Amino acid sequence: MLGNKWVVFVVALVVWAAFFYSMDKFIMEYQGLPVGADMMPV
Amino acid sequence: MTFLKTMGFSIVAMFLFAAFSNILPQVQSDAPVEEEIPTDGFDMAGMIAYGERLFTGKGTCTLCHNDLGRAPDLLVMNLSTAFNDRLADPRNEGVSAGGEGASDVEAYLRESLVDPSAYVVEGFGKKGSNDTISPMPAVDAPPIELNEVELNAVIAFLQDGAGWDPTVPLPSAEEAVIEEEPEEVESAEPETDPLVVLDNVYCAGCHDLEGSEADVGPNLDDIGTRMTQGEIIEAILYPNAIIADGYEADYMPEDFGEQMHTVELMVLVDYLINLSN
Amino acid sequence: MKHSQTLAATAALAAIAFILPEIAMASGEEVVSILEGAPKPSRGDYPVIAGISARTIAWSLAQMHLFLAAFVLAVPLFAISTEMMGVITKDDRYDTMSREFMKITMAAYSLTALVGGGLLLALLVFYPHLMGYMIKVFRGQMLIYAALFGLESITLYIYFYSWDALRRGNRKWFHMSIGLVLNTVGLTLMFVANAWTSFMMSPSGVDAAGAITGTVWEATRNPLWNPLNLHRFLANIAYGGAIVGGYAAYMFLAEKRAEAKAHYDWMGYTSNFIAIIGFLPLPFAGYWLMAEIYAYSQQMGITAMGGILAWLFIIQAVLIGTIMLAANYYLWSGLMRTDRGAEYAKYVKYIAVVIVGGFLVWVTPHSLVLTPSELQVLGGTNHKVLGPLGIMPAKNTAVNLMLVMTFLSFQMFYRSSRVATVSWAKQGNMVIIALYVIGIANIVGAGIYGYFTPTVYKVGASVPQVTTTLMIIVASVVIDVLMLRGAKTEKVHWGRMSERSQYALFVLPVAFTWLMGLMGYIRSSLRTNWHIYTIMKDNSSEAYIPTIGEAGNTITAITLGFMAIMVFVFWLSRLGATKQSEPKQEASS
Repeated sequence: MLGNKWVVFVVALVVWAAFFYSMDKFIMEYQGLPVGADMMPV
Repeated sequence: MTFLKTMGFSIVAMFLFAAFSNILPQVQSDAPVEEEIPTDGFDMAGMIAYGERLFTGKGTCTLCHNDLGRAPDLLVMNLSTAFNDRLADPRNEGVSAGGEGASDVEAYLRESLVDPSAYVVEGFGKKGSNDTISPMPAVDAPPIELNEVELNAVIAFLQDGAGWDPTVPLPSAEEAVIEEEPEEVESAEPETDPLVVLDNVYCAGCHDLEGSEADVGPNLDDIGTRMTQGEIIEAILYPNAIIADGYEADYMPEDFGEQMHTVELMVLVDYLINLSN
Repeated sequence: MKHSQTLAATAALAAIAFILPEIAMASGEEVVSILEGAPKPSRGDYPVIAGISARTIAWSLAQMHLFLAAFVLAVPLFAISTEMMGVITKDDRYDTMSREFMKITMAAYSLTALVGGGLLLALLVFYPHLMGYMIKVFRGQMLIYAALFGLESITLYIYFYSWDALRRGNRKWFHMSIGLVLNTVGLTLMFVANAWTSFMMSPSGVDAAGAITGTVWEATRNPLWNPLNLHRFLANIAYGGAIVGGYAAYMFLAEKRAEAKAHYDWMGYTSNFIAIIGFLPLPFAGYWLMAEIYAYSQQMGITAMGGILAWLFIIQAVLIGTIMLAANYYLWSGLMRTDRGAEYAKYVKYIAVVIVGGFLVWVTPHSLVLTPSELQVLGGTNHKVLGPLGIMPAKNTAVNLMLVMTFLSFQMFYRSSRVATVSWAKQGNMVIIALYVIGIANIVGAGIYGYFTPTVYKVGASVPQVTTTLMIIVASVVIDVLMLRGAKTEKVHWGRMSERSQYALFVLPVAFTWLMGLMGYIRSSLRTNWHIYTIMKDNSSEAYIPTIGEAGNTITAITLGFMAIMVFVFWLSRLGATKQSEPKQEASS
């Protein structure tokens, strides 16, 4: 199944998105800034 | 030939950078100049005005005490309720808790100035310190270095801002060495002709004034019927403190106080008041 | 050399190595004599000599010394790297080029020392009190500095002049070891000098009055020392790369022989690559430095970013934008060197749009200082539509996208000469495309998030943005390396390059030099009217922060002077290779 490049593309999109999301979350929380919907508006 | 071409090219690039730096606003920041002023006639009103100059000048308070959320916006907030709330805050260990903290407003303000971490207003502490350490420097220490008289002047200004009579002492003759704020604008002789002042600050650019029909801010032709002299002064110095119905905040520059001499401000206000008569 | 001599020399070196740290990091015992604090000279105490502006003299010499020193320290760093490349790839071109890098450095070295001596003299003459105090604080470390300078000279000369004698086999390793010593000494020199500079911004090891309370090490290890070390280390590499790139571009234009053109084209490409490598992580180092400045003194941080110096960051944006546009233009022009380059050239226009767009966002000021009539036209100090582009999240987003695109330009050129042969090439490409898509989305997303959140979050959100940029670069390099293993390489026609592209290589050193001058001015101005922040006041008549225009003019004058010196240096290094032909009569007679 992973032979099809478009399947790989979609899988890669999901994996990278998960990776960057957890990276962002980790960095923000490491700085003492909780990440959550309640923080969005000024 | 290659040499001339490449060098010429590089020099042109360099002069473009230099030219760009010359078209930006040019401000020179001078070191504070010490200047002695006589104590004669230096009353509490003078002290308050001096405190305000320190607040925006040498004290560099407005670097953080502004609308960007770094520190409480002292020029806009309601100071009387705020100061009372803070004295009553159990974390302050003040008079309510029977602790050693400040027990009156003057002492509280002085403590905040010279020992900012003694009591930190909730939410304004250094990150991770759980509001026990203040990011504010002690203003009697370098690099700000306010002296006793200057501290008193700032306290007087803040007490006056809360609507109370200042409780600080006036400077005695031997203390009266007053440091001027750093000059950031080229100083000129004050203008006394209201039309020249009006032309310089260009109110008519945004306000409908004598037929200019601009509508960014409210009409000024009848301002004398709507506001007192004091209110007009406040509206010029702190344009965002009160916003007229139907207009938006943040459009009027907040630095007119720095652009005008006091004389010019008074001339301008008198002119505006007389306009509607 | 006889064994006894060798032994004696070794023993002497060991003794120096053993004693030096003792002097350098002197313990607190000997300090008792200097407890009175920093001197407080009044205006009359500053020597006035024939109406000369002391500050302009010290400023110019310091900046000139820094330009030369940055160049002289950076070149051996990448010369040894390219020398290593030569050993690994067994490609002699690398070795020839490394030697040529060093040849340029040699002539610049003595000038560095000369200007450094001039700077020291100027400081001692015009600022005797400050220098006296600094010498008390750093004591023996200043002697170490002088000793290290001697060691730097020795190793530099040996490294260069033994190049051909120690070129092959085991001897090559010996030669590279000398280079390693050279670089260690060079970096130590820079770190020591940085300690003095950063001490003036964030003094430590002294009390509030300036009386010495700690060891030299405590004064050295002040809060801003390491951020400054990292920032200067990276910037030096980028700067050195840009300057030798300018040299290569000039030689490319001046040479007529195709073979020489090919060599200098390749040298220019490599130099540009080195400059970009040093440049990409610089925003990260700059962020760290700025964060440490804020942590050390909130007031100093705000003076830099929100006070009268804030405008300078607009000029910085223009300069960095110029550097990025030039570097990218050069990379795009490089696509014509390969036969498959055209396949990639069609994407250039999209990259160009992002880079120019990012540049424009970056130069949009947040609030404008306007004349009343401009105010009337705009309807306020912030533009209704463009205003939001002026704030930090938008600018961070723009600069990160520009960095990502610059890397993409490089990656395209790298790939245009290689055809992957691994079975999963198509899938690998998809993974990389997905990486770019998600990475860019993350950078933009963090920017939008920062826009809607309070200040602390705006600052906080810039960290994931930079990390994402670095992540894209690291991950695609890793995938590329795996994927292009055993790839079919196609010929790169070195020298098949337009003349115009070489001018991009001139823009880099000019803009870099000017930019470094500007940043030096900002860094020094952060101390406002203090020689040593909060410890020793500057009471001279020149204790003011000059206007941007005045600073710009001074920086331009210094840059012109530096360019003149570099032209002289390049000319010298060519002169050394020029031989006069023998007169004809003698040959015939």
